[in-house]
Amino acid sequence: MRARDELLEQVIVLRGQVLGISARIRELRFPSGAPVSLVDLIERLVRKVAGTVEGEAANASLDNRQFDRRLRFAIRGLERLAAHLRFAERAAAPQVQPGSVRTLVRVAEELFPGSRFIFRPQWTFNYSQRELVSTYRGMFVDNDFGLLREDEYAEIVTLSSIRAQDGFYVFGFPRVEKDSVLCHVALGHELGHKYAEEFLENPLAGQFLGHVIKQAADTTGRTGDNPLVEDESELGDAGSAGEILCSRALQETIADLTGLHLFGFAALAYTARIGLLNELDEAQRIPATEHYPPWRFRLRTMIRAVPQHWFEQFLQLGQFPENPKALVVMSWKKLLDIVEPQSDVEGLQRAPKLRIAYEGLEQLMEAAVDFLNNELGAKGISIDSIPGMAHWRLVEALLLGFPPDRYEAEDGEKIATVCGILNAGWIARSLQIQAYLLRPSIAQLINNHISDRDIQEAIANTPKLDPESLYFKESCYEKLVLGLEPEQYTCDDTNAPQEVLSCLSEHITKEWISKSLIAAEDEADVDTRAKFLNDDGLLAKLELQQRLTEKALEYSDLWHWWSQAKMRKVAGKQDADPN
Amino acid sequence: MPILTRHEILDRLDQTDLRKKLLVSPLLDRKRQVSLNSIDVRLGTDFIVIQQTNLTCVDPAHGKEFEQNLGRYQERVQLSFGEPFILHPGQLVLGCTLEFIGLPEGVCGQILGRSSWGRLGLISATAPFIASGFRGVVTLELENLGQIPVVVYPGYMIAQLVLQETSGVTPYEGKYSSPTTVEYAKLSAVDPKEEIDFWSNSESFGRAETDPET
Repeated sequence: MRARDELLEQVIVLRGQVLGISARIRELRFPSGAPVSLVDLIERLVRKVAGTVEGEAANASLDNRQFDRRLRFAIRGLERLAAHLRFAERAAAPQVQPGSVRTLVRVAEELFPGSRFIFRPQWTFNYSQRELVSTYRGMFVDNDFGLLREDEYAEIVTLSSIRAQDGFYVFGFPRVEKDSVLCHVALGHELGHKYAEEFLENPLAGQFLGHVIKQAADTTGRTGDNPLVEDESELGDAGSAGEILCSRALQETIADLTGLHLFGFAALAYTARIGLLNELDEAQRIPATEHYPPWRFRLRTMIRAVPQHWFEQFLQLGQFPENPKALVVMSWKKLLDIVEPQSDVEGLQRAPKLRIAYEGLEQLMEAAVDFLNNELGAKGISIDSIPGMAHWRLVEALLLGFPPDRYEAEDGEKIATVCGILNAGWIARSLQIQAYLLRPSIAQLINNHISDRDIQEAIANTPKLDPESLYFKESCYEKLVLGLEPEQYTCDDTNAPQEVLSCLSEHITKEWISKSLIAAEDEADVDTRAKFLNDDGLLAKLELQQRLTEKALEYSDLWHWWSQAKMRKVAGKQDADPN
Repeated sequence: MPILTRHEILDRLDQTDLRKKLLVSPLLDRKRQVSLNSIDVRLGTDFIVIQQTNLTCVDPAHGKEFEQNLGRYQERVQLSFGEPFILHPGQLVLGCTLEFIGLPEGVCGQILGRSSWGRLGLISATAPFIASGFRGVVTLELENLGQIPVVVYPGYMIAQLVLQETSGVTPYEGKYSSPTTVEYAKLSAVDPKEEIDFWSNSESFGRAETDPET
């Protein structure tokens, strides 16, 4: 068989495979209509691209090497489209939590009307977002081969119920976090990347960015008019710094601040959680996340952005009782303690290009924050609204084993917002962990609402622990919740055995226990220790709170749908009434 | 013990102290759902269908093994609102209430079918009792006793919750802790093995007492 025939056959086979798989995917149940739109889009593109090259093959001469290259390029495109069917397949109901996904899609659509969103789990431990309309345009229109014309592509996109100008976004979340609904506040950060891109496309921002890099270049003895577009090799560190500033530092910081605007305390708590799981001071880690700002830096930037005294307002508006309030304050103070050391900045100062990038970031932040305030302010979202996002009654519901979907306010019953639910989840979780770290019995006292005096006594009798070791233990918990291996933990104080035990969970295997934590202990004791942990049940409580938070999101979506349906019904009656 | 009436039900629903409150959430249409002596509850979106082809029998004496292989025996189905679920004659599926129910201590409940559905052959609870202090969505054992298939949709008011006061107050100690979706039987918690062992062991049956002559 001739090489071209083989290539054409590959095209036909690929088309058949894509259409076969897509037909099966259509039979799945999805929490929203977006995955089916993606299947539509992929099917139409595959048909059109395959049909185009087949038609051209009939007229192309056999020695036309350019056409063969075009054919190979088309095959690569078709293969990528086939691979992208997994985005839709993974977004099906059994793979995600439909109630919470519907709610989060609603948040995203309110922020970016007209855009379409898919949520899907991914194997890599990362939250990610990608936009497909521009990706496919790059693959099939804007390149040397031009397999499709712009008008053809636009027609296909429109027929798939997608508005090209608004985009089609696929958000990925780690599969291991599928049931950790609290971690879905990462959506705020991912949506922030859209704002970051808009900010960087803004000509004024571009000019300012160029100016900042030029300044940095001048101070380091380098020259260049616009380091972002000039040959980087001539600009050395300053050029690389420009790239870092654009691609990572600024993007991530704007995205973090968007998350903060949208989810308040929950976004901070989530960022701290991820930060504690990683190295707080490192700017460069694995290649995929190279040049990400250090977590300590990110947390500090977020905390600086919230208005002064917001935390006091937050507790007052929520009407937190004194005892839980003491634990929430403790949790907040821990966050402040984390960002106090400047070790991350010292690390950045040591690497020349990072130093230039992050000094530039300081100058750009003001413009970025103004931009973000304008964009989000136009949608009624303000950083000043953060204190009002949480309500104690929602936290109380969670602690008592109810989904925090509504609460009694002074002016009647209120349906909880997505922000309110997620904040309640994070606060309840912080309370539980703080209480548990202090002394397990306190958690029980809080849950049972036993007298203030008992709790105060329990707190007073708890030996004081070094804050650094508290961070460490919390990060141990996090690793366990994620099913990761905790690091070795040693503690010099007399409570060491119990403290070590408190870092374990039912998820820990005997192998881990013997290998990394209590290697010197008697193997026979392992079962007793595991039983102790199961009986103590912090993780069971955290898991229950996750489930209840998820349920509350589902109900929040239902209440929203119900009120909309009722409004439509009333409007329909009014329309039908001739009077 | 007295069954709560509409007025008493509403009073308990309006209680602001969560520890004493009768919680039914979401109570989408309070006016329609709270009737004279009960609260109508809706069908949720989650179902468990038993895969008969993978299962020879359910033996509670081997509950733990059964639970370890539960994934093979049951299919979880999640419907959207407006999507039908067809219940064939003689078929038993597990569904759940849409509402999350929290009974305060001192109040117990029963989930009973509604007569309109019953006349079609659909019964919605074969184990209707709910202990006081229970929190969670209630699993419904749906069975079509009729001779023609019956279609149910999530959101339908399919059963009613009848509430009664208890004579004393004891904390909830059930094995179903705040379920948020339909749950299959916890056979390992039933654990009749000890009892089976007892009854099948002739010595423990007390032969010495019943047959003193030998």
